[in-house]
Amino acid sequence: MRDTVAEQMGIVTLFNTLFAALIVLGVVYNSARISLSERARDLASMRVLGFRRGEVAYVLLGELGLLVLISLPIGIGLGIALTRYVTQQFSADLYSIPLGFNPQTPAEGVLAVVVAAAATALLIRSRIDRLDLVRALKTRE
Amino acid sequence: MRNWLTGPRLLLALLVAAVALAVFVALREPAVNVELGRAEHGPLVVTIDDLGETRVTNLYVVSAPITGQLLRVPLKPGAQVVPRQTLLGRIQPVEPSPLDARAYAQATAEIRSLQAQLAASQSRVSEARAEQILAEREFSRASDLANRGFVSRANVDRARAARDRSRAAFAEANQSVAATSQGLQAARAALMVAGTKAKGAGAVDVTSPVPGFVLRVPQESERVVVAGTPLVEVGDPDRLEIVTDLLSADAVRVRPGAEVFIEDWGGDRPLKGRVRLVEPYGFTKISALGVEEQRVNVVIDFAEPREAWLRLGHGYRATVRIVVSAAPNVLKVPISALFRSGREWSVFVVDAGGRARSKQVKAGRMNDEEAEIVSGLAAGERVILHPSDKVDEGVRVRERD
Repeated sequence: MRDTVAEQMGIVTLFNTLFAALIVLGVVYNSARISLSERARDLASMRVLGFRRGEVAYVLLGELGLLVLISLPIGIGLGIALTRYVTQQFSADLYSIPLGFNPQTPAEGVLAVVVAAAATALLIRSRIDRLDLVRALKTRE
Repeated sequence: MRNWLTGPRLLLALLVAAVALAVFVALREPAVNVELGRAEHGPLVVTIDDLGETRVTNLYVVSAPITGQLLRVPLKPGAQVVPRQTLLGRIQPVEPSPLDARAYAQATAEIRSLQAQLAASQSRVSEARAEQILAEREFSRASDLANRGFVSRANVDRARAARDRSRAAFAEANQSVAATSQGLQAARAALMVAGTKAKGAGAVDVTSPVPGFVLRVPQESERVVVAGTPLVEVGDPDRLEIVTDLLSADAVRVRPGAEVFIEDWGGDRPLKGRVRLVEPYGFTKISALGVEEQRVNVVIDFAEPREAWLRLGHGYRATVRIVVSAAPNVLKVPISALFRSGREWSVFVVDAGGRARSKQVKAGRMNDEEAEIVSGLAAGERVILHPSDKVDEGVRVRERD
């Protein structure tokens, strides 16, 4: 019985995790792309001024990493609050579902977010490395 | 010194720390919530529990001594009975039964036959009287002549004998008339049927041979009863006992004199009792599931004064817990901590690090709640109650709130 339920819930959880990873990928990649296009001229200027590729990437990706780090505890807190709210709403007159909190769950979430963010960072890094300095500097503001 | 503490390194370190923490938590087995009990010294009482019924120690069934018409029994259950004095019931003669056509014809023919006989015997009386008068006269004549010496004494004697015979014949004829007229009366009585108001004889008053109270009146209404019909059950509710039927295998373990706790009888506290008798005769009882069981009656006396169980009556239900063995101070654990592994009993104990450790133990006496531990555990050890399949050797456990 427990195995059957666990198997079905496992499939559901797998899909949810995949979607969550995609969303993380979208959000992180999107914000990184936006700041990249916003600061393409600044970054190109820094490159021209003699900053190394790694240092330029750090300006962008460091901010990204910091944001991810800050978002993790906030996200975990919001997740727990959401779980609590949902289980409360599920309680009916005849039955109520107890709130089962397993520390493994947020840990897995953290890992998924970090993996997705790392994948995004690699993508962005390659874009920064291939930044067309001339075109970026030529555009007028 | 400050050179290596740069922004990128700090950020990288924080990221690595977060990932490491996440990996650690994700890979760690979560603690299993369990309920805990404790191995401790204390008294252990092993009982056999069953349902029992109270009954009056001596129950007397007063039954009809004769066949007859029972008048309505005036007593109700609970009425007090004084021996040989309180009237339990009165049995009258029954009404004569009706005559069918044949019996009626026979009876009337009998009457006519006896009437004819009566007439015949009355005629016999007249004949006997005539004979007697003649014999008297002959005798007086013969005696006169004999006084004068004309007839012999032998003749006189014969005349006297003839006179005596005729007297006797007359008396016999008279008696015969009386007998026949009585016979006629008897034949007329055969025509009596119900409702003729004739009174019979021999009504009997039924009384109780013992003092006590009426417990049950199985035959309350007036009716014709056959001798032996139960009329009233009399018993003394002050002298109650409890009878319970145990499985014979359980009854073997019960000794006369064993202590008994009487519970769920309706009072606010359990009563104490004592086994008086384990009957030597078992009987077959079919359980609710249709299983044939051999059961033995066990009789229990109250060990408390009558005031404690004043409201109990005959045939009331109670739960009896018969003490089979009692130990004042043994090492025991809750029985839900024990489980079988192979042929031995095992328990999970919680070690100092909060992890479950399986231990083989030797269990002794058990009741519904606790089991004696003969060896394998020390007093004060924490044991896991009804361990689930998540609990295994070395698993971290946490006490449920």
